[in-house]
Amino acid sequence: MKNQSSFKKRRLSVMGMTIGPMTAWTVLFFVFPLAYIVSLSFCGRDAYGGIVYAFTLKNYQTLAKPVYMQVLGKTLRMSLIVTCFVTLIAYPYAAIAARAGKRVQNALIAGIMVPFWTNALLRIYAIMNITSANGLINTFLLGLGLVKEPLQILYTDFAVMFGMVYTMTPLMVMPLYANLQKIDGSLLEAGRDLGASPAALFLKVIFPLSIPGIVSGVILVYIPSMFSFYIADALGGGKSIIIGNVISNQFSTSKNWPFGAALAVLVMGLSTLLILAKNLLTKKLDY
Amino acid sequence: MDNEKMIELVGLTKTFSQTTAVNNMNLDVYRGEFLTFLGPSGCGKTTTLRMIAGFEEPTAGQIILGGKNCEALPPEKRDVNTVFQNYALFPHLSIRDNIAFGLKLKKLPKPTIRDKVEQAICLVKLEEHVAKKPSQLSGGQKQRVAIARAIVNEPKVLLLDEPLGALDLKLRKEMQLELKHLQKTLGITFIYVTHDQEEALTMSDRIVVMNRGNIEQVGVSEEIYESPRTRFVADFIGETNLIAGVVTIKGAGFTQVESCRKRYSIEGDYPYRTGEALTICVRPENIHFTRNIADVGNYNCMEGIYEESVYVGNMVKHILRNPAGETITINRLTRKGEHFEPGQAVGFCWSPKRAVLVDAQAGPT
Ligand SMILES: Nc1ncnc2c1ncn2[C@@H]1O[C@H](COP(=O)(O)OP(=O)(O)OP(=O)(O)O)[C@@H](O)[C@H]1O
Ligand SMILES: [Mg+2]
Repeated sequence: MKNQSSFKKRRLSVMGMTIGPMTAWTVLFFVFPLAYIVSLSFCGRDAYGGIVYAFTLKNYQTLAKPVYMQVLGKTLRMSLIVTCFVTLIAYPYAAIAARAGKRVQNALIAGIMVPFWTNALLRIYAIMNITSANGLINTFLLGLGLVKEPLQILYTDFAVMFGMVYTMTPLMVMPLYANLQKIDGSLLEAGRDLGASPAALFLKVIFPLSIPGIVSGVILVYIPSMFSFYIADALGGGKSIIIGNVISNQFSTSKNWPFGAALAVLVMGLSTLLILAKNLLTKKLDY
Repeated sequence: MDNEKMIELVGLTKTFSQTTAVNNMNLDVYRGEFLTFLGPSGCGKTTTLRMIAGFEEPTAGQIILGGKNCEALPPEKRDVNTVFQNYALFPHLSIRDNIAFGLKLKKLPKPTIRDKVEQAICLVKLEEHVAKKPSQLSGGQKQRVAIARAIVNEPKVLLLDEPLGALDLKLRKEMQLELKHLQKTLGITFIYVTHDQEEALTMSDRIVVMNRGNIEQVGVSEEIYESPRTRFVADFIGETNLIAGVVTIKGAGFTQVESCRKRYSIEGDYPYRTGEALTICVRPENIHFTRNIADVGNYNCMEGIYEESVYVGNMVKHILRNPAGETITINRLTRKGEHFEPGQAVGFCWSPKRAVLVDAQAGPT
């Protein structure tokens, strides 16, 4: 009896040792900041940008104003367009990588991972450089005489979306690649054996089986797109702003932390809904 | 089974970078036949099947399917369907949609598809499972879906690559009978791959025994078992005793072979010449102990040192070693109550009718 209880104690202490640090980490870096942001969103703000710790719904009322709703709507739309383009680019890329020989496969994966590991800001500055009025593209077009005046590429919605597509593509390629590579080759042979042309094989076997990969990729691309304020800052130059910029501004120039927190809670809520929808869908597709 | 050729393999060869998986294979398969490829692992059975289905391009030779050379035809254009070893059912489709897959691609009218699928489902007794996904089925049920998915297309030839490999013994035996029955009902030509000789012997009209990419022998079950032509076939199919010897007399209707300075006579006309090295092959059930036979007469007698006995239910396996050092196994009914001591010299004999001569070397190369 005594033995058993000491055994139990030991097991508890082992559990404490393994789970303890994890729990501490989660509380410190996830639960606490989240709770702080949520409570902050119900606080007020004084004239100097200080936080007034008194319950108010004012932030959420401000948030419902058309200006902010418009930015939110535009953000959702832009992220959607970005996600579509990323999917269109990433799918064939991942499909080729998944079925290629070992060498080509490694090259293709490196081709996507090396830029991904390069600092994001660095890459954004590179795009700025290329698209600016005296950048590579305009010099080229002017030199060929195709245009008389430099094109305004930088500081447009197009530039922002281009930057996002460029930045987010690896996030779609990786889950898709993993998914497509997992498809059993004998299923493809079975499809052809039963009379499927390559096109029919894609439509009836490969594509349906890759939906879970697409869904994961969409989540991984869509949500960060809404928050990628640094891309909009650099390539939109304040002319093309997304909800991420608005949030970022509240915490910096506008010094309205409570309102920024409310905006953040709203977008996080939307993201959570998306992830829940994804889980529901994947559960339904679980074969 | 009639005499119309369904498939002709002419000089079919497949070489992978270093290995020759299939070597100059010549074979005719007839309409409605149940033909089995039997051979040890790696002998080229799957490769042959994959070439017929169109998944592998022959290095040399031709495949003639229903009188037409199908060299340039991709798998989807060949009138052949495959039952894959791992079933390869589409995990995202229901059982019914899996079975309808081929027919839908053929763009048949909807009611026709429905009727044919219903029929196939009945045939393989899957009525209760049509709405399920493959992951919800047992191994035997998946197997039946794979068969239904293939036969519903009414192919000229059905290729089955060790379709029962993953099943337990009982289900395996059941499915063997079901498959055989199905094949007779539908009259489709089956090319069946297995490395289980018992399965091959029970199910096939003809067996093709393969070894290292070569055909060793083609024949009906009895032929393969009773008159193996090569040492490999004799050894691979069933249990057998192999006694090496040299031809001393080539007589009319019999051949005399010497082994360890004793001579043995084997009935039958063999193309072997005097002085040729051969192997006598006697099945364990065809050997008797000499003291149990009143008149040994023209029987071939040999003496061996008794080693051990192994009890296997209705039979006892007696293991002996002959003067040449070869192991001799003798199967006797348990109820005969024969008993020997290890180390004892024991005489045994067999009828000249009950032995065959095979090439000493492993089959044609
Ligand atoms: N794609 C390939 N590349 C290289 N060698 C191969 C390939 N496929 C098969 N082989 C070789 O060809 C030979 C025959 O293989 P095959 O798969 O036809 O054997 P099998 O008779 O089906 O054996 P098993 O009973 O184990 O399935 C083997 O030596 C194998 O290693
Ligand atoms: Mg095989």
